[in-house]
Amino acid sequence: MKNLNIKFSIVVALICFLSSCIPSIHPLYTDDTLAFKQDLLGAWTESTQSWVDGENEWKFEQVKDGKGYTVEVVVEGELIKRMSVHLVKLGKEYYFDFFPLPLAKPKDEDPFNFVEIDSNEEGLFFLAPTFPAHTFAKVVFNEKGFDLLHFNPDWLEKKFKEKKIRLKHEINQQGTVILTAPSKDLQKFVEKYADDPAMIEMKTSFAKL
Amino acid sequence: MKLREIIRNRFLQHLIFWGASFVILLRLFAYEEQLYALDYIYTFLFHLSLLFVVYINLRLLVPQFLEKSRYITFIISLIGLFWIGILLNELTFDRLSDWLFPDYYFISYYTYFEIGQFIGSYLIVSMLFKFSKAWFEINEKEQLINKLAKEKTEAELEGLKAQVQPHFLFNNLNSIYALAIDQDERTPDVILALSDNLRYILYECIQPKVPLSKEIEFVERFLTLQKLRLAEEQAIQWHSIGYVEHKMLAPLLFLPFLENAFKHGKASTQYPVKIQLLVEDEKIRFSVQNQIRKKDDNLPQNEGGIGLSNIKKRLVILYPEKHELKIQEDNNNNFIVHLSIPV
Repeated sequence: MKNLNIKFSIVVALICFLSSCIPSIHPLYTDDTLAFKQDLLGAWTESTQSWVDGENEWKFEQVKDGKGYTVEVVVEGELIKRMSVHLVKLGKEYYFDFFPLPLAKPKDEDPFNFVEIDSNEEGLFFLAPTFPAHTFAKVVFNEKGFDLLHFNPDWLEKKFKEKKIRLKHEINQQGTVILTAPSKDLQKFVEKYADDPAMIEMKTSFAKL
Repeated sequence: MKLREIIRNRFLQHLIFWGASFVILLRLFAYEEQLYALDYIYTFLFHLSLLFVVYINLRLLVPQFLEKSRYITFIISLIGLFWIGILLNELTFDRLSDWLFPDYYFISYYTYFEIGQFIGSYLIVSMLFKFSKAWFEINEKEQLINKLAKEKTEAELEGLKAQVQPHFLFNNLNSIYALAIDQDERTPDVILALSDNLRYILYECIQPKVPLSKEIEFVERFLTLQKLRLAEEQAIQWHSIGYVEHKMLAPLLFLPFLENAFKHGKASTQYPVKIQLLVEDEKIRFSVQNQIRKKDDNLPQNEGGIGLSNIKKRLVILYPEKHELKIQEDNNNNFIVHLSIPV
């Protein structure tokens, strides 16, 4: 039962982490803004442990034939999330573009041939965010590793609903704001307002294992 | 305020142009059917760079370079202004929008190429408006110049016509004077005929055109006066041929030629003054022939005095390129005038 509670808290926390920005149909990156840092490859841990208690490991692997990473999040020895991550350089600043991937690895290198996933454990798997959308966070590299600065979804959503932000978006029946702006507009918006204190909700720090 | 004044009001013209522009771009930029303050502010901000390039072009580049035919300088300046407009548009949404409207969040949504299309379109449209307006102004000025030229011509004509009257009176008074000295019993008739002709000159010749029949009556009275003055009955041969009804012409065109013939011609049975008027469908041919008196040797060479000079000017004004006047002297010392004018 204790194990179940830990997993539940991890997944909920991860949902919060990945939804710490408004989802976007289009990615933040374009070919001309993609960056790649060799140093990111390897295992990282969320050192501030602000989102979950317990051992966590973020494994960065380079995707084949591309400037991108596949990131697996392992908590308490269990794989709980896979993401496609792209490092985006806008001006002098770096950002991560996250996109959720199926939990299982493709079988035999075929990206569409997945192994069966055991959705056991009282259906916790179905709580995981499955909406195929991009989310973004600012990355600040430092001597110890890097910090992720998460955009404030509540503030952004409020501004969108008040019609104070001019960026293409849709609001669904549940009141969720989904960005539909093209990548170039997203880049301009993020580049211009990423340093606005009101835009940043929290910071998480990562250190290399 | 009259409609014409309203239309010509420059401030109003610009207000209408920019008002229409605002409405069109507002609808173009809006993401949703419903319009919000966000859309109005964005459209307003977008117009700042458009206003800048349009007025710098119309107030500075066009008058300083284009209107002074400095075309190369104008084109270079226009290209420079075009790029400044693009950068200004970027700057508006990068900096100015946050300063003017800190509660709103804008970015520049268009590429340089797209902004350039907007700015280029506004530069072209505003210049077309300017040129079409200039065309209307030139047209109006041309009309004014034509009107002034017409008034000047009319004044000139009036002046020339005014010269005819004292000339005519002077010649006839000389005749009456001669009759009065002789206590000729025809003097009252001469005065009466002169009176009729003066009435015609004063009251009917004020119109630009008179009926040909009236002008013929005038000529016949004039010839009557001359006959009374002359001793010989056959000194004048006058023929009018053709249908004169409904034909109009400028008044007193024949008079100077007649006066010239009787003043400087012999006018005798042997050398009669021959006058002929041939009326055709669309024109008349008028001719006068007289034998030149010896003492007026200088006249044929000079082709007459004030009267003939006057009628030549009037014909040029009244029938430009449409009249034909030939004044010549033949080997028999005859002074011959041929005039052809449309009626």
